[in-house]
Amino acid sequence: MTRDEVIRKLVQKFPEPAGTINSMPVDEKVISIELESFHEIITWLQKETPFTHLTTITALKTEAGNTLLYHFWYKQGLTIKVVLPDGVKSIPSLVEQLPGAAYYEREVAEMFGLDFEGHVNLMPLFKDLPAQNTEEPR
Amino acid sequence: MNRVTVPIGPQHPLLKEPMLVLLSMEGEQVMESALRLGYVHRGIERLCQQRTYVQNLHLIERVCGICSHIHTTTFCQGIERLLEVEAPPRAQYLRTLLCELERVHSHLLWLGVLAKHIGFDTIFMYAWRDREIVLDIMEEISGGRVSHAVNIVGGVRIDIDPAHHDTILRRLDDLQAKIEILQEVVEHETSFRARTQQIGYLSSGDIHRYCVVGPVARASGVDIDMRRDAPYGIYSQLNFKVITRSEGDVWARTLVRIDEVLQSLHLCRQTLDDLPRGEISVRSKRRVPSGEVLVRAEAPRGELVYYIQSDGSEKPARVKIRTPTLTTLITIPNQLRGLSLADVSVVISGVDMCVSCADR
Repeated sequence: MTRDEVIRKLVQKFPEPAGTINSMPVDEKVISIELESFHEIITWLQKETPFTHLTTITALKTEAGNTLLYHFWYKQGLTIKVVLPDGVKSIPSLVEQLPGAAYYEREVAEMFGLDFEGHVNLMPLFKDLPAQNTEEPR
Repeated sequence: MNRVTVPIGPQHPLLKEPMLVLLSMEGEQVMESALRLGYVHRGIERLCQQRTYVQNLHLIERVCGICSHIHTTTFCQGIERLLEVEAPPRAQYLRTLLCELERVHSHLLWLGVLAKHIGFDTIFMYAWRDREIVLDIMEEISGGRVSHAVNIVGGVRIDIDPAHHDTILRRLDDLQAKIEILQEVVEHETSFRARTQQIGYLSSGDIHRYCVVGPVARASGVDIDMRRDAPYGIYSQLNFKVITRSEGDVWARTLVRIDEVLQSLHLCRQTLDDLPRGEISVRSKRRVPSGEVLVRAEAPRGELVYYIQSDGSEKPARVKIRTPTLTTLITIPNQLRGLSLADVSVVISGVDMCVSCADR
């Protein structure tokens, strides 16, 4: 399934606005989705499309609120954009389906004060470390 | 049996940069492990927002001490995209030449570190001796051994003169012969194989689950290389092979990296042979228009990603850096499970981590 086919199906299933980010050599396609359909869309992407490689999660503070960009890759880039509504600080975690998201989510949680529901260890990744280095592994 | 926690780090002879690996051991066997990062966290993403684009070039060069050039190359490509300017062909060839020399330097440094941790000091000495050839070439081109400050927005700062080509090419031939000897040793030497084969195994399924990139992914049979998959700069005009192997252990990673060094030398020769004449930089507007850009490039350790957002002011509104090491670190607890303590060093050095990159 190519990127255009995935986007076509995605827009059919969940009618959402689409856009682009400049990228090289082909622009990154961006699909903006609502928080409510986030979990369903990511599960669908993981199970039924080849877009299973999560490049990273970029968090932004914008006027619209905290925005998360999930950059996926399969031969071309596809970004899923979620804007968290005012006052919402939590978003479902991807760790169960995609263990590779664990560090990215920990970093966003640490730097932007967000919570990822279902993440088993949302301990800070870079800062605020416990002082003792002989504590039990977590 | 009682479990004992063995901390490796933050300062430890095994680690070249500070991090902490906590091992939960039963006797000699690793049962669980956990990593702790952040000892060299400098908050570079935040610092970028407080500096102008030109100042940021110098900051970003210092994300990593080994692959400094690819960071500025990726950043410049992003800014050039937002400014809608393109570096002249000669500048792009020079950037690529340095990127590939840097890959050779990074892989040889890593090979030396791995051999040292195995106790194979001969390879360590030979690899680091051969790495000096590349460092010398880079120093002659740019004036710096690891921080080159070659890139500027719209091109490069430094040109090379034709008389220099031949001396570089001659030394690359010399280096190739030396690396072929190392390759022969790594491939056939029994003691090297005994320490690295079936150690740190990752299946291609693990690679997909953990979204791993770079030589670690390629050594597990996952064919991913941004130079070919999302060709930036002049890579679409160059001829090279993406090296993959299927074994998925530290031995396969070693062979993949040595083969990549040979491919990089081949790329260096192509860039020098085809180096076009002309300008090395173009003037661009000072103010970056508002917009966002995502740049993917292949650093020595794998896919490097920059996300840059501009609000039209002279400083970026957001710079996000995803370094390849972060993807491989996450697999270390998986690789260590069930191994004996003596193999921990092989696994930790086998993934070729750059903690400064990961911590930023």
